[in-house]
Formats: sequence, C-alpha cells, structure tokens
Amino acid sequence: MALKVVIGLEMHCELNTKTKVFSKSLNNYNDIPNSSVTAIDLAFPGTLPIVNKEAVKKAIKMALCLNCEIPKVLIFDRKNYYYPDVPKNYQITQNTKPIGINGKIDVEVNNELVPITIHDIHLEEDTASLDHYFDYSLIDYNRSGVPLLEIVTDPCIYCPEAAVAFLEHLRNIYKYTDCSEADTKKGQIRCDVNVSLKEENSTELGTKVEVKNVNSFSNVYAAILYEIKRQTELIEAGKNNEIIQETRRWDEESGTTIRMREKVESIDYKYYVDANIPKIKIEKEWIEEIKSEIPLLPLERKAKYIKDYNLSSYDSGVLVKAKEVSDYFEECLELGINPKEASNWITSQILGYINKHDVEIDDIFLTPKRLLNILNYLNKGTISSKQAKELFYLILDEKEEPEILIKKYGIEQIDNDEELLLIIQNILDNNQNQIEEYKAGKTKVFDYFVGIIMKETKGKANPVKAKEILLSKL
Amino acid sequence: MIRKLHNKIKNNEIISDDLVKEAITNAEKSQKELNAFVTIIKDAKRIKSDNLLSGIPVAIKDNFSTKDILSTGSSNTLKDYIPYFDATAIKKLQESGAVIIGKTAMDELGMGGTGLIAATGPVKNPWNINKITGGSSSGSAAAVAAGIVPYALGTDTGDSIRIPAAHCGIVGYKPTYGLVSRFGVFAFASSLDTVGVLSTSVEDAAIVIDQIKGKDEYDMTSWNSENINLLNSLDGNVKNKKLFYIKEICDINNYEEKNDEVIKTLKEFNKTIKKCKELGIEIEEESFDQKLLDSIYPTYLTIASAEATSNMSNLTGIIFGPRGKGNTIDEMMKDHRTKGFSSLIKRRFVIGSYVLQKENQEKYLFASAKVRHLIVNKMNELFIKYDGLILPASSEPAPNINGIRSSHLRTEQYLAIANFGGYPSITIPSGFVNDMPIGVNITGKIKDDANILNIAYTIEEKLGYKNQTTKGWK
Amino acid sequence: MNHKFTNEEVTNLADKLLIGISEEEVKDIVEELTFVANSMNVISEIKEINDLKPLTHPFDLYETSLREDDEYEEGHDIEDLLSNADFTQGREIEVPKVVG
Repeated sequence: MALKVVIGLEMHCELNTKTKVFSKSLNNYNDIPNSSVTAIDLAFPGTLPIVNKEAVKKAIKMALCLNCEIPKVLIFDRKNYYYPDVPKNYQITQNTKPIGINGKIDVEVNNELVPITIHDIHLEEDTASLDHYFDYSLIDYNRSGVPLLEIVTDPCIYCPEAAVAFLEHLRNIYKYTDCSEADTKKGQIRCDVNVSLKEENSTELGTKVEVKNVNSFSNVYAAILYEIKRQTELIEAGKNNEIIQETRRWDEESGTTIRMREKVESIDYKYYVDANIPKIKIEKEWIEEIKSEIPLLPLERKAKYIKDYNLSSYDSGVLVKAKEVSDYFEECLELGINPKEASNWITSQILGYINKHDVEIDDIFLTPKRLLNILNYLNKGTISSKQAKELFYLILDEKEEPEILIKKYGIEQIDNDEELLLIIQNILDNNQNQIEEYKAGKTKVFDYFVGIIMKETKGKANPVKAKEILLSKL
Repeated sequence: MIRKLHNKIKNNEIISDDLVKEAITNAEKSQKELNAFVTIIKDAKRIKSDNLLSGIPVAIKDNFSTKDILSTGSSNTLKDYIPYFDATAIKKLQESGAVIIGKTAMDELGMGGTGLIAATGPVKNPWNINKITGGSSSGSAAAVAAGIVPYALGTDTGDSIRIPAAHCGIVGYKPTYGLVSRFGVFAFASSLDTVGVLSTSVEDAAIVIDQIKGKDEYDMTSWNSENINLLNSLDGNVKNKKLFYIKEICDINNYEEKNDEVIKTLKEFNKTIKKCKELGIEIEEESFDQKLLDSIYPTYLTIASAEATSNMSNLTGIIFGPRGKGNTIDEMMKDHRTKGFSSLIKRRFVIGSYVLQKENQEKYLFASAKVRHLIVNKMNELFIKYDGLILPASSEPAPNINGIRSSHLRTEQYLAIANFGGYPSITIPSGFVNDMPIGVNITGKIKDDANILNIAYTIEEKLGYKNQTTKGWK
Repeated sequence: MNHKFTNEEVTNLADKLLIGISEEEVKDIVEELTFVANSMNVISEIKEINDLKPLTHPFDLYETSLREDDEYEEGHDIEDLLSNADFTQGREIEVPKVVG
C-alpha cells in the first residue's frame, strides 16, 4: 500500500509597521522588557483597539501577491481563550471575513512550477513573551499587539521540499514587498505544519496531526520528515488508530515531535465579531493603489531577466532568490553595467564571498558603483581580468576605494607598445631554442612564451597586445 | 440647574468651593441611608474656566477610569484598582472645570437592573429607602435625585441610565451610540454600551453631553458631531413633530400581573400623551408582533452576556486587581474570579459563554442578533414617518428592595430597543404613582439627538417636574 | 425538544471561564439557561429573521478612518503600568511557572 503525504501550512509573520496593530505603541525589538507598552497592550479596563492602517495595507498587499479575493468590508473577530500571553484573554483576529481568501500561487520546486492554494490570510495581533525560570515565569508585553499575518494553505502540498520552497518563496515576497523583515532568527516567522498520510489513490484525507510553532524552515522540513516516518511506521504496524488528531511540537534536541495536548477535545475559541471595531469599507481605489505599489515579485523578475537580458534560467534563479541580491543586480544595470557581466560577477564572485564570510550583500564595501569602477578599468585595458579579481578582493578586504588600491599595489596593465616590445624582445633573445622549435611547427611554444611574458610582468602585460607583438616578432 | 449655578458663581452669589464642600458633606451624610458612593473625593481638584460646568460638582459612575482615583466598577475583582489614565469623557469634563466629588456605586460592572448588586452593598432610592433605584447607574441616579450633585455621568447598555432615572424621578439621557467616546469606560457589551448623563433637567443633560461628546481617536466607534449643538437646539418648538407608542406595551391587557401600580402607571402615561398632544405633537399608535416584543429581553440577555463574558475576561488579577491564591496561574485566575464576581455576573458569563459556543451560536447568538436586526429595521422604518417613540419608561414605579430575589428574572426590557439600534433615548420624570416617581421615555433615530432632546425639553416644560429632587439632603 | 441543562454541564462551562460556582449558583444558572433556551424557541417562530444577517454593530460607521501609522506613543512609565499588579519582578509581571 503506497502512502502519500498531504501537508498544510500556517505561516505567521510579523509585519514591519512603525506601531502595533491595535495601539500606538512602537512595533520594535526592544531588549528592555515592557518598554514598548501602553495601556491598550495590557488590556486595562476601558481600553479599545484602534486599527493601524499600514498593517491593514500590508495585509492587503500580501493578499494581492497571493492572488486572494479581498472582502468589501474590514471585520475583526475575537478568539477567546485564557492564556497569560494574551492580556485581554482574547486575541483580535479575523474569522468572519479574512483579509484574503481563495488565493493561489506557483512555487518552483526542482525547476517545476507547483501550484499552492491559499485558504485564507488573516491579520491578527502577536502575543506577549513569557520567560520561564525555575519556578516562575515573567511576562514581557513588548511583542503584545505586534501585527501578525497568518497565511493558511489548503492541504495541497505533497512533499517536504515543496513545503519549504513555498515558505522560502513567501519569505521572499514579504521582503520584496517590504511588508516584513521576515527574519526567522528574530522569531518573526513561526509555522504550524499539518501532516497527514493517505493511501495513494484515496480521495479521503488521513488524520491530521498539527506540529505547532516551528521556528525555522529547516525544522519544518525535519518535522515533516519525522511525521511521515512516525505515521508510516504506525500504519505499517497496523496501528492506524494511534494516529489521532492532536497537536504536537517539534523538539529540536531530539529531532522528534512531542505530543502537546493530551486532550482529544479541540478547544472552542468562541469566535465572534469584535464590535469595538466598526465595519470599515475597503474601497476599490485603495486596493488598486496598493496593487500599483507591488514591485515585480521573484518569479516575475526571473522571467524578465531571462527574456530581457538573455540570462540563463539558472543564473536568474540565483539572482532573485534573495531580494537584496536582485536589487543589487538591478542597481548594477541602472549604472549601465552589462547584465551578463553583472550577473557573472554577482553569481560567481560576490555570492561566493558573502556566503563564505556570512555577510549581507547590502553590507559589503563593494557597492555596485565600485563594481562599475573595476569594470571600467578592465574594459579600458588599464587592468587585466586577473587584476580585476585581485582588485575585487582587495576592495572587499581593505574597504578602500579602487583608485587608492590600484596605486597602493601598483595594479596596472602594461599597455604601452614600446614597453611591451622591449620586454618581449628580451625574452625572445634569451630563448633561442624555443624559437627554433616554434618555427619547426611546435605551435604550443607560443603559449609557453605568453606564460613567460605574464610571469615576467607579474601578470600586468595586456594579454591581447602582448600576443599580437609576440606573433609579429616570431 | 447648571445654568443657574453657573450664573450664581459668575455673579459671586455663591463660591464654587462652598458648593463643592456642600456636595461632599451631603454625599457623606447620605452614605448611611443611600449608600450611593464608592468613593467620596474630599480634595476634589479642578481647573478654572468660563465653561458652564466650571466649579460645579459632579459624580461619576464607578466604571469610568479616573486617574489616581479608585475605580472599581463596583466589583471585587477591581476593588483596589487605581487607573493611571482618565477616560476621555472624564478628561473632557475636567477640561471644563467640573469638579468630581465622588465615584458612584453601580450594579457590578453594569450588569443587573436593580441597584442591589454593588460590591459596596445596595443603593437605596432617595424617595423611599425601602425601594430600589434601578440600575445599573444606581448611585449616580440616587446622588442626583437626592440633590447631592446637579448631575452625574452614567452608562447605559440596556436601560441602565433610563430606568434608574425613571425610578428616581430625574432625567436620564442615553445619547446615540458613539456620540460620547467609550475610551476608559469599563466594557460591558461593546455593541450596546453608551456613555450618558443623569440630571434634573433636559437642558442640563444637553449641556453635559455637549461638553463630553466628540470623535475620539481612542474609540473607533465614536464619530464626528461638530455639527451638533444640543443646548442651542432646545427651542421649545414641537410643531409638526410626530411620535408613536407601541400599542402592546401600553395596553394593560398584555400584562400578566395587572396590579395597581401597573394600572396607575399606564394611566399616567395616557395623561402624558394627552399633554403632548396639547403641545401640538402628533401621536399615533403602532402595533408590534407580541412575539417580537417578548423576544427583546432574551435577545438582549443573549447578546449582552456573550459580549460581557469576552469583554471581562481581562479581569484575572494578573496585571491589575488582587492576585488570587493558587499554585498555578489558572488556579490564581480562577480564585480571583470566583471570589471577585457576584452570582449574577457569573450567571451572565456562563450564559454568554454557552451561546458563544460554536455549536450554539446559530441557535442562540445569531438568532438573537437577527432579532436585533429585525427590530432595528422596523424601528428605522418607523423613524422615517416619526420623530420618535414614546413609552412609559417602566411599567411600574420602583419596586421594594425586599421584593426582589437575587435570581430575579426580568422579562420586560423595552428600552433596550434604543441600544439595539444605537438610538438616542431620554427618560424624563412624568409624575407619581403611590408617592414614587415615574418617567416617560422618548427614543429617536440615530444622530438625531438634538431633535429628541428638544421634544423632551418641551414636554418637560409642560409636565412640570423640572429640577425635581427629594428634599432630604439639601 | 429542549436541551435539558445538567449541573455538570454548567459547572464545566463555568470552569472553562475560570469561575467556580456554588450549588445555589448552578441552580440559578440552569434556570436562566432554560429560560433563554425556551425563548429561542419562540424566536425561531419569527420567520422574518430568516432572511436577515446577525446585527453585530448598532449601525454602520463606514466613514470611520483607520489610524495612520506615523503617529506613535512612547511606552508608558513602567511604574504606572505595574502599579496595580500584586506580583512583579523588575520590569515584568511575575506569575507561577507557565507550562505550555
């Protein structure tokens, strides 16, 4: 009996607004506990939510990126449950009319486009953080009320690779649209993963197991693999009934999932419309305006690079994988750098460097402008391509302007005909035997001479010119 | 009354300090019999201004957040709560120079219509201390009726201003929903809660609401009312005004208990109608489906309880309120809530929670919210033809305190119609039945407060109970 | 047929709200819940409500605008924020250890 995995994802991501979603407190990362907190965030009696326009706008933007239907009116609901990280003991979220429904987006998995359908996108508030100590916990409400967007897929993903590709793609869209920093390291992204197994040809879904609060994409991948293994083993052992609808959590240390809630009875969150927030019309014009602000998204940029700049599919894919890299590339083009040349430098040299040194492309000293400088020297023949690479690393390491480094290290091509002639003549004079060999038809000797020229000039000789002169002298 | 006091202060006939001192003394003296105050503020502060309210004492229902002043909502869950911020209405009152001399007792957190369910004990009716005041703005009504303060702020979710006003022989005005900001007012049922005023004349009510109304950035359901000036709208001209009454409510045959008080109250109402007609107001009879009328109370109970249980889930004793005992946080919260809430509140919470449950929402909460919709549609239709609805504020004068069981089930709550649709609604005293005051209520279309107040103002003039207080504490 | 409310059901409901109730209170709640349930039967006979949506707000305030994101408030004084809490440590609220 062949089993097929069916995966559904819920991705929570904090939006990068200036203030919180329902209060004017700052939405920032602050180490000082309870420093970005006002009365609303602590649910003091009489306080009321005031909805942040920018948060709604960014939520709509994401919904549009995922081709969702946007409702005509904005409605928020309460999700009622008692837990100390929600001071109101209800979370304001969207249930009646999520900001986006019925979306669809294609994701590239192993060079193939896989469609993912979006059940809904809803805007809600993040919770406070609890710090646990030996026998007590402390509550810091700085995160309380940070706008949180939850994107829920249908159970439409059939392999862990596609799940991760989807999440990476989403993270990219968040960054491309400037809706979020989308930094997993800062805990801005958290995922719930629903995994079930079904028989290959069956239309019926298996029992769904939810793995909650997975904080990195590699852990999402590992958790799915683990659940497939665990559930497969249970089914193969005939213990299907031991797969129950439950909530588990990913335990990084053991690399397993652990049951969180023993109770089979699911919690009733008693969703109900929050009357404190009037129904607000979402005007068509506003949606159009938001739509017009959406930049080209990764796959669109990729298509453009292939079509307009003749780049390979592979290179284009590498360029759009991170928005910062793609932006760097486009800045290069704006400066007039040839697309192919820019792509080559970025995909081979620059990405190699930033990966090796674990730095961000925005932080390196070699800005597109300085790259243009290098290329100008190269194209003018002032430096050789080998020298260009040398200069490239010097700029990165020493954080100095190219002009200064060229002077400092004497990086300059010998371009002068007379000077080259002198050097070449001298070499030929000392290698009479090889000249004879060449004349006898051993053309390989030509390369031998080029090698010596380069060695003698420490690579500074203009290779094209040197070859021309060498040929004429032979 | 307010204008008279203002002029006396202005002409140096009385000194504000003396007025305030007198109010404080009277408040203290009244406590033993009326028990109207939770807190009497002996060092009442004020700013000086030319405003009509400047230097005049006022009492505030205890569910308003008052900075540095105990604000309990008459609940033990908040028995030591001292807010660090003012409700918007309080801020605006203080800007006028009004002097807050006390916080008044109320039915716990606004629930219960008797005035008997305050943490500080029952509030007594100044006309006869064996009678209830009605609630939940019980202390505010008693303080005004006893002449301790010329006016007091209250809140109205079902009839919480208008019933105690009727029972205490004073004016009680619930403005259109959102005319006054709810920021800083302890939430009971967010879609019904309204800030209003209890006073001894319609003019005073107009003055006070003019001062505290307005769009507030901290309450999204407040709205811009710059074009409304209530005081200036009181011109005594009611030519061509049309009111209707509901036949079934005013017909003695529809009352199960045809006791002497109901008979007399309805008789008095007919007299009032006659006087209105003498003023030139057209009054017609409209018939309502008895089933729909009978649905008002259960519908109100369902909606209000559902909203209340969610709104008040912030009362857990973690961030404010006395911390409960227990080894776990759930035990602590449960202890706090078990000890802090009275039986009535607990009952409402359980009902609210029951109707909010997923499997019950359709049958209970949504059905109720649909009845609400139906009633509002009907009223809106009638308001095309009529300026307002006129009804006896209550079918009987204040009942005896010892005649009320703690689990007393009220089945009559017609005034909640105004809360269903957010309509402005005002009760004015209209006479006496068995030596206890009764009132008449007028409800109009939304944002038509000026018109409704002017009609009430004109009728008040005709009925002759303006500036009525008991003589006991003067 | 009406649902018959049991003491256990009512106690369980209250427990989920973190509220303890006495036997007397249970009795009153059962009584009132039964009243509500009976009333809903009456309501279900009002055919006109079938075509209506639940009314969640008294009236529409479509003209309300959302809050602009540029204006912010500094965090309030920590003394103010914590002044009503019985158990604090440093700048935080202290509670018994919470287990997920």
